Amino acid sequence: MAKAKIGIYWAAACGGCDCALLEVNEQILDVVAAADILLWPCAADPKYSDLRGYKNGEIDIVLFNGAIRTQENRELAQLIRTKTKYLVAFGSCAQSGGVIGLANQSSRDEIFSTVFGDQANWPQLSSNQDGYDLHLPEFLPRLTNLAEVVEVDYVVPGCPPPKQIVSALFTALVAGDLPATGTVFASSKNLCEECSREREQLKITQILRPHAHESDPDKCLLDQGFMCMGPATRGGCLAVCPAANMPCTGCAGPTANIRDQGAAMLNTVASLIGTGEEGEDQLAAEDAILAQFDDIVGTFYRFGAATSIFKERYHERNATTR
Amino acid sequence: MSSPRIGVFVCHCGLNIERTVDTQSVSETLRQYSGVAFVSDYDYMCSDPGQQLVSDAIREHRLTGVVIAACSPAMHEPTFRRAADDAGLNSYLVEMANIREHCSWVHLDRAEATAKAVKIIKTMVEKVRGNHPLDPVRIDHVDKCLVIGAGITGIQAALDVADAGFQVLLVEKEPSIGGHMAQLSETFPTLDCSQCILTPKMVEASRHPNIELLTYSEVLDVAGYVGNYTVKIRKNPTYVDPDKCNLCGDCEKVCPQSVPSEFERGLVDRKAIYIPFQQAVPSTYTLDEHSCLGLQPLRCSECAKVCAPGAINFDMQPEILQEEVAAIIVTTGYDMYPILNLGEYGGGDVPDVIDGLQFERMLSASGPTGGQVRRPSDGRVPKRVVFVQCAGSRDPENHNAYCSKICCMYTAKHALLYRHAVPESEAIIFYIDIRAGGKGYEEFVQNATEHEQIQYLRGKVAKIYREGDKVMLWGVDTLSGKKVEIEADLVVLALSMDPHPSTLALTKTLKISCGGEGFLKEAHPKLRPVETLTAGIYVAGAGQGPKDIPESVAQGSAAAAKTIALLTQDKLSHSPETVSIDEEICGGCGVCVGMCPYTALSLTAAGVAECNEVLCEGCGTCVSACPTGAAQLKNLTDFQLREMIEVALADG
Amino acid sequence: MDKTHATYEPRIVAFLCRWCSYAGADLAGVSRLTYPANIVPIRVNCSGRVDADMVLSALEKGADGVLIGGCHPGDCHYVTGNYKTRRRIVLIKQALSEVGIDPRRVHLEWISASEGIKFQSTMTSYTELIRELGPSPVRATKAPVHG
Ligand SMILES: Cc1cc2nc3c(=O)[nH]c(=O)nc-3n(C[C@H](O)[C@H](O)[C@H](O)COP(=O)(O)OP(=O)(O)OC[C@H]3O[C@@H](n4cnc5c(N)ncnc54)[C@H](O)[C@@H]3O)c2cc1C
Ligand code: SF4
Ligand code: SF4
Ligand code: SF4
Ligand code: FES
Repeated sequence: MAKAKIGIYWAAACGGCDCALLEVNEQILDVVAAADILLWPCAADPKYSDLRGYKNGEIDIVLFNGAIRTQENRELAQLIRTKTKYLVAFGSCAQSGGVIGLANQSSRDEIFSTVFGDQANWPQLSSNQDGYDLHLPEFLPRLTNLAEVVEVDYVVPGCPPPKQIVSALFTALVAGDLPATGTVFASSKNLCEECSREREQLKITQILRPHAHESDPDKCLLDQGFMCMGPATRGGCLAVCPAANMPCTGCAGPTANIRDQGAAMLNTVASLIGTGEEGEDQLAAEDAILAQFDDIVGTFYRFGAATSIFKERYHERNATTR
Repeated sequence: MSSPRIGVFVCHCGLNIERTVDTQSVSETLRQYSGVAFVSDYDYMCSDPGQQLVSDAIREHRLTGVVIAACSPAMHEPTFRRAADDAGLNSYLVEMANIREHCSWVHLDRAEATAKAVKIIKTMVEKVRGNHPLDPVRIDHVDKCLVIGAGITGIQAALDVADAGFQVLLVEKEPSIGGHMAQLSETFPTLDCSQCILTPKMVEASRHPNIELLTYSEVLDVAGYVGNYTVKIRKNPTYVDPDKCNLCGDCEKVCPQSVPSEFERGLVDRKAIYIPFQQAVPSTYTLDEHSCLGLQPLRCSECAKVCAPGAINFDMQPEILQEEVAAIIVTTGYDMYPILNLGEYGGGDVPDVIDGLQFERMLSASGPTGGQVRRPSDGRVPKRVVFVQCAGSRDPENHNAYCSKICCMYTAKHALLYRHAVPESEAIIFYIDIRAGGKGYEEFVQNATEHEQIQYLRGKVAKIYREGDKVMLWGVDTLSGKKVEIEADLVVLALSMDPHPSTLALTKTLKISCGGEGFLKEAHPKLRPVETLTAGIYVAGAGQGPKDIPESVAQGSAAAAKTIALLTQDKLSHSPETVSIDEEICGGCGVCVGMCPYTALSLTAAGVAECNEVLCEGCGTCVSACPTGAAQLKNLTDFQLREMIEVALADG
Repeated sequence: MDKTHATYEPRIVAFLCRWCSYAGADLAGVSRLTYPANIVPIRVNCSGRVDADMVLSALEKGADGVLIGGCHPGDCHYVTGNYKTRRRIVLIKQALSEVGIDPRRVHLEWISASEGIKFQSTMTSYTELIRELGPSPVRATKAPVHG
């Protein structure tokens, strides 16, 4: 059997996903034995021309990590799509925009002044330095996930994808036995299934933040008031965050029946919030709990904002009117 | 799945729809809509020929779903579902698009109304596209019911159900049935003797071939659901064989142990072996092991020595019974608000401050004083009795916030009976308001005030204390605004009514709820007063809230009627539009479980949620709360709703 | 009113509880109480079924306003469904204002089966409000992919 040809690409990413590939330890050797890595900017130094040189569909599979933030990200995503048979959205940013999707809440100018300070220091699309013409890719008005730009065949969720999920992908890859397209390499169930914490109260009487409050290591974090996204998040990571006293932040995205992970979690949390009793006389007390949130979008859409209605900032005049 | 063939039937409703909605254009538009295989419009779709048109089209065009664009589903959904069923199309594949009440009747502009009608119909086409054929849930049931608490309410309910030919298990905690009514002297507003009207019913209940009486018993556990509850009952040992006991009372005479009599409300003592009152049912003595000198090891056994028929058996063990019942009626009644909580009124401290039930016992011919009013302290006949209404009621700061409802009436009764019993006497009543709503009630109170020279003082008593052999009351007459100080021989507190102390624990066992005040909670205060949210469990009587005998009996009969309606059904039937759980997705987070007002949801041993479709009412509250989308309402899934939303908002 | 709003017809979807607001709408119909035709009703069994996904989907699909009609507190046919939705709506509104969407685009109203007049006045005033607010900004989402 001919060796499979694989590629690994990073777009708007932090690099964590590339490192996560190595988390599988010696399994990487099986991958290298079974496949030729044609593209891996993080490890080698391929040129655009190399990529353009491949025939359409010549690469078997590309693991694409990172979101689409710049015109270059977009062009490469489109180019890679033509060159590969299967395209994998690898990691939360490729899957749903990831944490950096929250940047869509700020305009390009706001982002630039935060990052580069004075407008004089902002990068120019075209400039000339030391006699060389430099061209920078355009910073897109809105960050997106991979699927909004090109068709995606598989999803490997996680920020970064945990070892056993990457390993599952590699196993399928090495065996030449990829599942049906559309497969998400994670559990079909929510994280709570893998979490060993004791759930009993199922009522949220207060909203706590992990940096400000200590949690009981045995009890369900949500029960205690920490906004654990576990219920609205696919398992597969073996609940390592709750096990380490960190509420799940939802990096693996929602289960198959859910369109909007943040909305699902908001539903759950709002359903559970209360004093233990329900009635008209409890409404004020409920409002007092609800008021303890100060960043709903950041809480429930930490990884999914870019693929939700919160994918951008709107500018209605009376946005704060109730 | 083969492609859908949906039929759309647009009704003109004479001119009711046609006037503002262009049914022709609506039909034309729908004909072009994906999945729609047949469109027809007609003057009156609900008429016989209209229904025929639908049936014929279902057969001829092999329709897989039907949308009737006409009036509100509240009007004719059953009509068209039946028609479809007759034509061989599952009735749950038929939906109404409400283009009359929600469109033609409320809009004036024909173009706008027509456009909106199209959208409404398209949403229903989308719903039907996602609908699945369903069959009503059918459940077998047993033919027995359980009544918990045998006061007058429970007795009435048991008799009604038994008379209808069904088996009843009547469980009472105390050694005798009868509840509080057995303690009353005469009853307002007609002043008939309480025992005289109650005892025949007690006897009837004990002899009824369809009633099994379990006294001195309690319900330990309840599992299952409507039609098929499994209950565990513990029958506590009475150590006396009721069949052998001939009521000679010899045991009682030799028993060395005395404790305050519950039935006489502590006015006198009873022995450790006792019969609560002479007319008790079952008619037998009971050995109360808690006040006995000791059974294990036997410390005394004087009673057994004198019992000629040998009825006493110290080895009697508790019995645990398991029974299957279809329905449960909870009639656990009330208790008096603890008099000790009323320290300001000398409660528990001043012997001549008593509660209303103690006064009832005094007034009873069979009571400890033989019907004479006497002061507990010295046995003297009091010449001035002050009655204090609302003692512990309507006082949100210190006591119960609610009104106990019956105290106005029984206090008037008490004063009146006292005036009859002691001619040269004075009866004074402190009251906040007189609430005498009820047939003959106002007249009763009026009569008491006018003819019996009972003095009503509007105001609140601040303090009651003992001075010498008198009882002093300080208060304010709120009509004159003056302070009043009264010297009384006896004070009777119309104590607030509390739910029976076992109520909370029992509701936990039954998984029904208590209201804020601790009384049994009904499903709907107006429309479902004797039902609970759990199908097949009913509540009635003073356990559901303070009430008098007529109301209690009415509720007992109402709960019986509900139970009979259930028991007479061959099989119980239930809408299949319930929740389904996708086990592939459900991670067992349990969020849904606590959402369901009907306890339809639970987690299985395998760690996934399970919906008992018999209990699910299809509200969808759990669906909204489920974070994975594993819980879905049949025929109104997230997916269907999204499609409906999309077409509701789409262009033209 | 903004000029661009002059020709704009608000699109509103209303999720109505079958026991109260849907029946209230029926009563408005029977009483021939007229109101604007901008609102398309969708019947649910209880306002407790209305979740954030439905509301946000509607906004994403181009709704200028989303109305939820439920039973008055204490009157929910299923006892407490309406309280849960009320809490959801509070959070949804807060999330919308966080991203600069006027939270009045989502509105919860208790309308009983006997309040035909309240149904009419709610539909009328809500349509007017949404007309004033103009088209939802979500309708004009930035296109990230130009080519
Ligand atoms: C001082 C006074 C005077 C009154 N006078 C009148 C009057 O003149 N006219 C009138 O109409 N009404 C009168 N009433 C009201 C009357 O007493 C009640 O309306 C009536 O007794 C209510 O009947 P019930 O069966 O609902 O409750 P109850 O009489 O309280 O009976 C409840 C029964 O359930 C049993 N039970 C409780 N918990 C359990 C359990 N967990 N398991 C098994 N069994 C249990 C109890 O032991 C009791 O036998 C008076 C009340 C008071 C306090
Ligand atoms: S909510 Fe979080 S902490 Fe609680 S069980 Fe689920 S994953 Fe574990
Ligand atoms: S809420 Fe959903 S995921 Fe959680 S247990 Fe219930 S059905 Fe399963
Ligand atoms: S739909 Fe309502 S009744 Fe049915 S299981 Fe869910 S919460 Fe319970
Ligand atoms: S039934 Fe109307 S809001 Fe719950």
